[in-house]
Amino acid sequence: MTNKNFESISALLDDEVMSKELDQTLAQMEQPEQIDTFARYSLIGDVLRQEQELVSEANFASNIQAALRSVSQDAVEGEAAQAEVVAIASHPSWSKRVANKVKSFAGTSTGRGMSQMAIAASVALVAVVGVSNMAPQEEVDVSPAIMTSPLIGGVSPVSLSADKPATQKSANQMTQSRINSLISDHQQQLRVADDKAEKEKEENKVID
Amino acid sequence: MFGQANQEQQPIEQDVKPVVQPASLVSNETAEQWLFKLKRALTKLHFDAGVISTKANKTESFKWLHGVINGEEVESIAPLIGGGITTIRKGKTVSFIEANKQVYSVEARSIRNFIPPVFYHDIDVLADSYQFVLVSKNQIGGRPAQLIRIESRDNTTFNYWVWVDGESGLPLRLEFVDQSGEVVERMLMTHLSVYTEPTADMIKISELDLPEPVLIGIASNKDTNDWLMGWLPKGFELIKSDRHHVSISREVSDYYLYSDGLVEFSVYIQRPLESFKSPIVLQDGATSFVMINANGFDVTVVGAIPAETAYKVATNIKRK
Repeated sequence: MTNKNFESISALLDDEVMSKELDQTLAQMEQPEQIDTFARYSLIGDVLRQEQELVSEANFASNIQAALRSVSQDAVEGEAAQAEVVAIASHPSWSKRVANKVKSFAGTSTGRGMSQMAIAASVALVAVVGVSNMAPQEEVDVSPAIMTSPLIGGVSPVSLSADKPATQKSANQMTQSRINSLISDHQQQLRVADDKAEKEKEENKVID
Repeated sequence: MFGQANQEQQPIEQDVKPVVQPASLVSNETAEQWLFKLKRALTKLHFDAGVISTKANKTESFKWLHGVINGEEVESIAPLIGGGITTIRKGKTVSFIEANKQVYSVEARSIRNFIPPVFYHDIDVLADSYQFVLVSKNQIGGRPAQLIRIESRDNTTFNYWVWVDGESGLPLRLEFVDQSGEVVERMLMTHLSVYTEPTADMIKISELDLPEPVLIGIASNKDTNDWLMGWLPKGFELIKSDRHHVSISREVSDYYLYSDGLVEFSVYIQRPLESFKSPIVLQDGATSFVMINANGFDVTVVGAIPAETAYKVATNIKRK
């Protein structure tokens, strides 16, 4: 692979590509290496232009996931993980830019589909970042207690006297991140649960 | 009257209202009437209140504003200590506002924070799982308050105690109480001003442009999952179920949401985590989190139910 190929990608991102080269350039994009280059160049471009829009492409969420996973596997402290998420969130939106670039070349119907996805994903991101800033805090404040033996019906409520070291030992980073995501997912589901239930009830009434 | 309602050997009569209600002769209003008064106050009044909510050893404080402008409800709940999420509602649009984050909206009839959504709806849906008990009047912050206990019929859920302001009908104090009488979560009003006209703050909210509600990552109501709930606490019904990527970790999960009208719990069934030592039981105020490993999958139950109940739900889930 020569730099010449990359040159055409660079030109594409700068809107300087000739129309006859367009097909050829887009065809090259099918190779993973080229796609990486495209993404990297567009990121560089965004950083240079100091674009600070909120990232809102669907696959950005999976980037967060990947980042979080690596953070938790490295057994980094909670504060560090938090900082990571914030850093990602304030990052320029290179992936959205890629989407827009491609969209402008693609047909309008595909373009519209993507923009809708972008809106939806941006909502998800806000929720994701919002919660992940709160969740670790919650864990600290809550005085969580771990039962080392199964609860049997009739046993008194979870003992808050369970000591902290035991908590940290058994609830490792992987488990911790799952706990955080499930609690935040539960809250998200609840936010929109009310009216759904209500609507169904109204529909049922009509049928009755 | 309460003696009668408690007689377990007469289950049929338990749900039927007696023709003559001795309690109603004494205090004029029944528990149901008080709760109706509460609903009316929550949706019709112009008020401005300070609220403290206590969960475990964590305290949060809010400024709570509600008004009706040109027939549309406006409401806002903002943390007194900065940095939290401010929630604004206009009619059925609820927006979440946080510094440096994009504002987004969902569709809901009330702000879900310290007031259970059922207080804005028809309280009768609770009749299957709870009984309403009218208790004595007392004073909260110098105001006469009527205590209504919403009590779990089979003790699988928390009891919910509501102190309704005798004058305005607004909730002065709300508590989740466990079976041993211990308060697990509390909301307390620190001040309350009721106005005859909308205040400038309320008008300001009515003039805000909120983003359109968007649905994202929301479970649809498809019962396509292959899990069997071996045991559910009394009165809980399936609200929705699906398979989705959970927030933050994006892990795939089979998902169920159950509600008894007052509280909800979520059930997540996921691939097993290697490192996790089953079971994990966490408690944060009224919210329990139980995660167990069962024959090749992890089951998590999270919601405002006692940990014992959540654990029983989790352990009784089977493959279809």
